[in-house]
Amino acid sequence: MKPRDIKTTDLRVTRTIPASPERVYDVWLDHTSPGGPWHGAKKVIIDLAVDGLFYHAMDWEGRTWSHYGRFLALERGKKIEHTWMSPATLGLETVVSITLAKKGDDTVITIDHRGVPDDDMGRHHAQGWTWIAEAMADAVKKR
Amino acid sequence: MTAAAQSVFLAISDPTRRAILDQLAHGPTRVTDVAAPFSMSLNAVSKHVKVLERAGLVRRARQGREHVLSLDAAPLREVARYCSRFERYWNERLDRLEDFFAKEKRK
Repeated sequence: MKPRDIKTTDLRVTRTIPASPERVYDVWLDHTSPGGPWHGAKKVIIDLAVDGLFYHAMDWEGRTWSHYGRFLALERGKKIEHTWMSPATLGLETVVSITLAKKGDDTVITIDHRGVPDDDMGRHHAQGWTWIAEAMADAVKKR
Repeated sequence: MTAAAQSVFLAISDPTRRAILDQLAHGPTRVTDVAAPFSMSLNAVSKHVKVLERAGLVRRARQGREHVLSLDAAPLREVARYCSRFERYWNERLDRLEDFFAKEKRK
């Protein structure tokens, strides 16, 4: 059950990748591939099957994040879906859906991450313009 | 980052413009009243207001001879989303995936 005081939100990011959906699918799930999202993890445990569980520990933004989840859908070249819990989800079981769509020789990859805590927005409201200006400076630095 | 988000970032990067937005957060305000607290000319304040209007953060309405400004905070939503930890995380993963295949194609 969702704790009553945690506001949640959904987010979507999308990108066109110069490869076929099948190649993108294979690289995404291969934690030994430099193109995969879990490459460089300190430790990876993964059971690549529907209802299979995974764990990976990633260093990111100055700390180690443990991620846990369960695969809900694995359709090569089409879809990867899994639950996702980490310290950043504040105990909530969020859901990540990755859909792959062929577009010519490329693949449009869309990541929908549903039910994530809306804490950044909370910080925005609590600390106002100072916070958002600092976040802006970080974002501009990264460009 | 979209062009719209970039214009919002540019608009809120200046302390005078953030102070103007803080004023307008209390409600619609005449241009002359917006300019009053600042030790700069009305013309200089108007230039800052124009940057905010271009970013879609401020709307202007004419009431008789007066121009009244009001805040439209909707564009900040996109900026806040961009700053979201999760969105940064996934975008970094997609950067890595895109780089991987771009390098593979160049080989």
